[in-house]
Amino acid sequence: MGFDPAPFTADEAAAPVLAHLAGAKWRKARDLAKELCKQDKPRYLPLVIAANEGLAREMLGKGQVKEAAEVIAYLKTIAPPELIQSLQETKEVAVVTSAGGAAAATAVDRWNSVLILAAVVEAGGSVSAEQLAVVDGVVASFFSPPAGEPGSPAARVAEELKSVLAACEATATGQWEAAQTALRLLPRRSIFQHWRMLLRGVRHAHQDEAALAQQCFATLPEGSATARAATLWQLALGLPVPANVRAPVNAKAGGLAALVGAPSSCGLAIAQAAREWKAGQRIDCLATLTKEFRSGFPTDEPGLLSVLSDAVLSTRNSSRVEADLVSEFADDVFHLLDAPRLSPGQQLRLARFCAVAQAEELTPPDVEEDWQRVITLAGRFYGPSGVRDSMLWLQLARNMAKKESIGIPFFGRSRPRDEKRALKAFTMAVTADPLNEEAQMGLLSFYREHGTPKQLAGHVEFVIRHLPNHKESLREAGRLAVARKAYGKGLDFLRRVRQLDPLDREAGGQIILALISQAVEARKKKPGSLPGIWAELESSPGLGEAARLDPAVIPMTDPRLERWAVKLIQSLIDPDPAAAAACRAEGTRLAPSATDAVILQKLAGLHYKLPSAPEVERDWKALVAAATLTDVWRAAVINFTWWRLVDGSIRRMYSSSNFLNPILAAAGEKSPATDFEGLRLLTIYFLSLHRARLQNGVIHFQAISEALSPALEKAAKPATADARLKLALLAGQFLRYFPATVSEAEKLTARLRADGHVQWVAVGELLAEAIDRADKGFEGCDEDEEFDDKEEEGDFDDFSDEPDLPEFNLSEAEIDEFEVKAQLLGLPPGGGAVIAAIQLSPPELQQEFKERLMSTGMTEEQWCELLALLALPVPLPALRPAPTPVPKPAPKPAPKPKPKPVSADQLEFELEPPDAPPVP
Amino acid sequence: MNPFLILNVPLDATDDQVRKAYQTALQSCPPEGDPVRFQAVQEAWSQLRDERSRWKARLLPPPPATDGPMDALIALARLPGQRRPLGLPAFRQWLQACSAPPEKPAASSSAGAQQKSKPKNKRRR
Repeated sequence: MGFDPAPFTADEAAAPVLAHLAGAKWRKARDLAKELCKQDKPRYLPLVIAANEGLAREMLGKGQVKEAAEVIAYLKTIAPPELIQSLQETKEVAVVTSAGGAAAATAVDRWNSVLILAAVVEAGGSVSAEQLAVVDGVVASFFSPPAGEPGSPAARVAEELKSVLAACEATATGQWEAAQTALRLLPRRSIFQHWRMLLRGVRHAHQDEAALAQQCFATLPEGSATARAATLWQLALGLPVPANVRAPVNAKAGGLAALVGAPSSCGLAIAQAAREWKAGQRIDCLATLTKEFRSGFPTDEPGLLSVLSDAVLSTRNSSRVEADLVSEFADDVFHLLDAPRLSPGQQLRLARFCAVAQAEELTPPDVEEDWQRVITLAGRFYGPSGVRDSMLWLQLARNMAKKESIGIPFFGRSRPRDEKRALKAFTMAVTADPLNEEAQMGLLSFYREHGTPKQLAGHVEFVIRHLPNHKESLREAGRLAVARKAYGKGLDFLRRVRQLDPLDREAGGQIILALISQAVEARKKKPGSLPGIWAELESSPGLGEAARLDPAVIPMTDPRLERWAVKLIQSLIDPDPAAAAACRAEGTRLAPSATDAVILQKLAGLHYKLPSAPEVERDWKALVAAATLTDVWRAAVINFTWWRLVDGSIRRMYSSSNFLNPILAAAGEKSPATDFEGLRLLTIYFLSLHRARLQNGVIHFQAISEALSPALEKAAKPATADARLKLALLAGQFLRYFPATVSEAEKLTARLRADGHVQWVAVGELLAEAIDRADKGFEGCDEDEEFDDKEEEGDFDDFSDEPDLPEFNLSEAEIDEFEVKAQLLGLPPGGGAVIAAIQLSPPELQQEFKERLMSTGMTEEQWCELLALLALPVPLPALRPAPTPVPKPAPKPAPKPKPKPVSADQLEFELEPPDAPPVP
Repeated sequence: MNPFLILNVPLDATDDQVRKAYQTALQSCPPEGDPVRFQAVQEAWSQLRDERSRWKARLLPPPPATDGPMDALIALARLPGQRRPLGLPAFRQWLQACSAPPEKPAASSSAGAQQKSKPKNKRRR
């Protein structure tokens, strides 16, 4: 400003005006000066001019160009022309640069500052961050510098700025060479040097040279506009962004949008949507983006909009909170589906989201309705396609057939399966596209579990007709043929599988089992054909393969596929005594232990209904007589793993009592504590689980309690029978849904305490609490509170009336701990979750019970082993005794293996030392 | 990330188109040069190689790994082949935004968003 205050310093009347001018209070200064002008205009007019000039410049600084123009127009009537000229120039700069801020208003001043700073840098000095911000402001506003006198420093700096701006324009439009050329003109000591590095970094970023780009970006002055500008490309390349560099969020969204080819104007909406997303307002987030992109959102068309659609309509639910958000959002979206303005594509996208997001929690009719809507909309939008419809039907079928979650943590929500709807959906899937292998296999699995043998066979035939080289269906066909004793046909199917895949171990194993079954049948009808079968068995490539399987891949192996077991089974089948004896000798020699050999022969005899050789019976009796707790449990484990899982039939478990009960009875006779201990452990196991898991376990429990019932009957006065037995039977009664009362459990617990059975007291208390909990659960279920009307109540018909499963919120460390335990015990992947489920359900009782057990001397390791033992299936190798230094019995022609009691240090699962096992 | 974007093919691409796009992508990212991108290309190829898998990728994609729109935008910008020059207006806008004084945390915008939130719908069940 050209205002000189000197003439007014001694003027008292002008003092307030000068004070206002000094404080940039232009309006107040102007008003006071106008008053003074009324007294003496020529004297005080410079004050009015100074106040108006200050006001005009301030307005231009704030971007109020229009208002400033009015002030300038007034000034034209009172101010000298040179002042007006200066103000006009400032105004033009503000309009041209359209920066709309202080930068524009003071662009000339800033340019002057840049000139000074350039001189400082050229002289080898340094500039502060604030000074650099002035330089960056000039560049970022694309200021057109005045040319200056040729050869002057101002002209040189102006040329440098022009080069930078030219490089910026070239970079913005992807003309990398032009940008490079422009930057070459920039001297090394230029004040704009850091802009060269930014633009070079951007070029590298666009040329996918992340390391070079980062090198350039790393040199940018901290806190400068260039460092902030670089964050856009750092984000895009996945490079680390310095923590103290914060780019404006809205502009960042716009910049990223522009970077992927979308208009930068949508950045505002994306940034707003991101804020809403973070605040958990997903429906608002959807609304914001829909408003911005209109009919283009949501969509599947690859590009920014599909990526945003996937992000917003995400079904990711990695935590409980997120799962609730998804569910709530899906409800909101569901209510949007009938909006008239939605295009078919939008409807399909939203309907798909609802169907996937709520598949686990809605009732089966609702889920079916959701998926049928998706199928219909997809047909309407994309046109007919059997392949697509099949895939969608399959999705629904899988959802309907999905088993109810059994309370194991981390496995999501539970909804009972709907077999009828599942079958319908599977059928639709295979009808729509018979070549859909997944659908065919899905239906095959479904029929295996729920269908009749006829349905299964019919479907297998259908699959083989459409997929003649499909291994799994061929294997299933082979298995079915063998099951109906059509061995030739079955073996043909299985050999076809081996031809297709010579490494298919499952088919190899099935061939072995089929040949054994064939030999059992041939023994009755065509004994002469046995040598041929033995030869085929001997040369079968599947023999021994299963035994070498990695337990982590297939945790369960069938011991019948091991050579030693095959030889022993052969010895049972072969009617030729000499051949049988030779096989038995060979099998016993190869067996892991003499005990294994005897147990397997006994089991195989029961399984194939073959009489055992007298020496086997003798060995068996000796083994039973010498049975210790550990033997019992090993036998039980083999029984579980083989009989239950290999044959896969619950009915088989009833027959397993034929095997298990003699051992228990003998062991109990020898040492009553043994069978009680077994019973106690089983009781713990069952009480620790949710009822839904008890279906299989109860049968075994029944088998064992039946084995003990004679002892109860023998008691002269049942009322005075052993309290342990009575408690076990009460537990069995409770688990089989017969009424049991807390008072009964408590009475028995009191007796057990009086008798000194400390560990049983814990079981008694556990049982009492379980009964109490169940009673409360049923009493607490008030249907009126849950359902509004009968119609809604009807939707729950398909749901179980069982109380909700317990839920666990485990920390990652706790989950890891379980997994480590599972690994130590050789459990298959996921074993940690099984252990967690047992150990934590119900958590408070489990913890208390564990503490009680610990107080009775059980170690942590034993507790884990107990859990692992109870959490069957356990890989068989993990249950075998550790290799012993004792050499195996020499292969004698007539082996008479005398079972030796296994010492405690050889065993993995001995919980307590047996009660002085007598050695026969 | 969307396999169609990775191989840069349209939704209704044929087997041939997908195969050609896969071959092109492989040429531009050999496994020894850019193993991460190579892996992504392989995964995209396995998801798009036939009509059935393409339908699956279109209609039943796995939940995205990203969290929210901004995350998704950044993930898209990180995809090779997706980055383009900003264009002069967007470039100028970005530079000017960066040269302005840093923004203060916008507490009020989130409060505004909360006010905008509608009453929750009644659950379907």
